[in-house]
Amino acid sequence: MLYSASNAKLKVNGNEILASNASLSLGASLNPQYRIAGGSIRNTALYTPTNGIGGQLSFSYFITGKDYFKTFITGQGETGSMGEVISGNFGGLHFDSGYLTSYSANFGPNSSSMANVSISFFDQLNGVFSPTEEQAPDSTQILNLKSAIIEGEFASDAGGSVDNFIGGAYNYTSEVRPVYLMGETKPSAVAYGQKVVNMNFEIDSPTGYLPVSGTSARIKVSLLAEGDTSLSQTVEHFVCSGLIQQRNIASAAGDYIKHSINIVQNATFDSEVTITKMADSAGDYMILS
Amino acid sequence: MATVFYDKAAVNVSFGDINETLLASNCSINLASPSQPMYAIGNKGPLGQFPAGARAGDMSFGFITSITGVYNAQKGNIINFLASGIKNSSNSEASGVQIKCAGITGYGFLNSYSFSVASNSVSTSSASFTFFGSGVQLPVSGFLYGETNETPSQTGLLATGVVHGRYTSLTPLRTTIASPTETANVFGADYSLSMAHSPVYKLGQEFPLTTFYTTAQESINVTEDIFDNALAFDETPKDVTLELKGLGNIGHGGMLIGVSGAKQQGTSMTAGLDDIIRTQKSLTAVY
Repeated sequence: MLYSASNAKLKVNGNEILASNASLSLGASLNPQYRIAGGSIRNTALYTPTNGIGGQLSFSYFITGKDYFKTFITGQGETGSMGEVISGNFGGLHFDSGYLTSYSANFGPNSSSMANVSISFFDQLNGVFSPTEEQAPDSTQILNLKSAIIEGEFASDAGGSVDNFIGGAYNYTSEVRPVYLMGETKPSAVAYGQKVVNMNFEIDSPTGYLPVSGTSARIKVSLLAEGDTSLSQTVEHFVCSGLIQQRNIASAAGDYIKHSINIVQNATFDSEVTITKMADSAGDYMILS
Repeated sequence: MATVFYDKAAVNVSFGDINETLLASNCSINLASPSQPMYAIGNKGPLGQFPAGARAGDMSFGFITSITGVYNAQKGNIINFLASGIKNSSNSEASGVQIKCAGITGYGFLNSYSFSVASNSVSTSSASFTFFGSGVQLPVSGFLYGETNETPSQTGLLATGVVHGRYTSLTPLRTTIASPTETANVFGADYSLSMAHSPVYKLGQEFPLTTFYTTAQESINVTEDIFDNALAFDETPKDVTLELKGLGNIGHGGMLIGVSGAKQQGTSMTAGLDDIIRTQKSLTAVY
């Protein structure tokens, strides 16, 4: 029996995802058991599991508002918190021990904003595939980069002001290692490794300034609904505040000179904690700069 | 009133303080807002149609090749002046020109220009512009209305200022061969120039940040009566200056088109009933 893409809903933690594509992989770790004598030196029909079963769910989806998955960037493993375990369901096949291992959002001029997520899970897929038939929701809003506001801060000694942001990407990766106790095939805990946020951005003002210690930079991409123009109307935002570790200047015949930078941020837990406004007893807001 | 007859729809091109109403015989304007459907797995039908790029437009028109104006001390029309200026420009950042027809105004970049000259015929030209818009400026603005007083201000010159094959010899395009020693008769020529413009878009803004002029290619297809079989593997580039003359321009200068580094890229001949054998050669120059 074959099914159409419209027959399988993708749900993560019970929330339906408007994904343009999704892939689910599952693998077992098996080693062949060779013996030192007899006919099993070169051939064997015996296998032994060497690790728990596990898989990966990857999908791309449209950013339609506040992005649910972005909360996992600062919600996994910080200050002793194990964070929320991710459950996923694809057409009835489900798992309940998933962890966000990579997240990226792409920013192109006049393009719909899209994000890519990869979730690793450490158990088998349960359930049976059960097709659904449902019409697409109407009046869906997809945030477009036409209505984005990009703010950049660069070290004053970097030379040349950056006024234009042509396009870029926000990337997050996290190491997640399962911790198995004796007798477990499904881990009772995971250990989080290094978490890295980086932004690649094409900007104007080509310069070769890059000291041995890197140079600080911060880029914030604020996504707004169509027609909105004020930062206070921001629906979702992406920030990378770290060190420029790479510059790339390139051109080709018939093209303009492209200057791109790579900002790397290795601290994700303390970013973007700011108080932007306060209300007095009368309910009047005071905007803080 | 949206019903406009053609006599109230002149094509006017202006650039800086230069302004000319062309003798256009046709004109078309297009504006597009590209969108694409988005689909999500688990859902039948599209989520909707969403913007897939910036709005952009184009305008093309045909016109009688006129040499009634004087631009930069050279006789000709504004399109020829623009084409010459752009293709010989060392500046990559392009500036557009304003084109207006029947109340619709666009701010665009010349992307093609062509004309043809044939014996005993009035020469016709065509041009097309691409409208990208800029910053907050829309690619196309205005509304359809009939414009009066759009007749060319050089009406008195029209009788003699229209390029005609009778007085345009295009002698620099003639093929000559050494053995036997012969020089071709030129029956006609088709000239075309295409220019590539590349807009650069940035985040948070629909219309381009800037637009670069990148490359241009010019070709001339000449119809004559000599077949030159000595086409070289690496043809020697040559500079050619074409002079298009109007009816009253005997002995006077016409509109000049300078072609730099043109290489002959092909030659052919055709024979048909009740006609002489005509040959064609194509010259190509790049900028």
